[in-house]
Amino acid sequence: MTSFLSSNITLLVFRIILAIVFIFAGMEKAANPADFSEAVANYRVISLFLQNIVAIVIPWVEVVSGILLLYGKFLKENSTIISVLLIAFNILVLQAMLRGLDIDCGCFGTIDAQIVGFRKLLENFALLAMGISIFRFSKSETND
Amino acid sequence: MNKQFLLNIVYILLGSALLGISYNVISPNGIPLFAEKTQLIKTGLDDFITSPNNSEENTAREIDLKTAFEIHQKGLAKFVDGRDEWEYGEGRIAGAINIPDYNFEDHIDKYNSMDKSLNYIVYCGGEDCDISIRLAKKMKELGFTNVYVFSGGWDQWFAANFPVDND
Repeated sequence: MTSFLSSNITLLVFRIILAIVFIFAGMEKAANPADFSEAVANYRVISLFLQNIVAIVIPWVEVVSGILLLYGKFLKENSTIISVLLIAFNILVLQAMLRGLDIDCGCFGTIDAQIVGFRKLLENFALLAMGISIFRFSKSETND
Repeated sequence: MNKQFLLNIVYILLGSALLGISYNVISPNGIPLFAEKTQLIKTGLDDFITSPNNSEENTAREIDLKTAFEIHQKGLAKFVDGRDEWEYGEGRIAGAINIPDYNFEDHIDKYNSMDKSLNYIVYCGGEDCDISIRLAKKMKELGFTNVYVFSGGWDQWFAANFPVDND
């Protein structure tokens, strides 16, 4: 298992999948900040004051990390950012499920009206596993 | 974790934030950096009684705690809790009905069949939430004519020890 996860091909595939998902998801949300701001508000965890700035910045963190991951730049840093985001997303989804909110997850902007639920949790966990593998097995580029 | 690693993360995050904020400035879809609560027209009890219909106005009118309490005591309006079912179940203004804002569109038919000419007072958690304002807007768009926002919401009502219900 370890040799599979640490092989260059596997890590490359993981990088490409994560990069595409995050670039795509980020761009969709960045294009319509007002919609995303409302999706953020629906989770009911962020104050009104911070809701817009979060909706403006988070999609671009996703896009930038995705692009850097695709080009193989700062792999450990970007896989950390993406993994932390995925953990945060899952906490948000889980709390929404526990509170019984059947809200659109807002994950890919307005193009998919996916409701928060177990499927979303599993998808995020799968992506998280890829992110952690990239962090664990890719070489540090800190000194480049 | 070395220092350079953390610094790189900070640089990536700052760069992304800068890109996001810059794009937001030039984008036609840009939004204010910090959301502000919509300013509403304040209404007292006399206005409320004499001319409750505000369907011609773009925003809902607002009432304060004292007016909300008087309206509640006199039974002049239905109170509408715009929060989710969970918060509504935990505690609500006595007699309030629940119209959760987050899935309003899913239950349009139900809301459409309500009496739209009655007086409705919409509220949410308190001063810091804008759910009530959003919900009031949606109700007005649906044809409700006498919709008001009690912006002090559940927090003020509960703190004042006014009548409440819970499940």
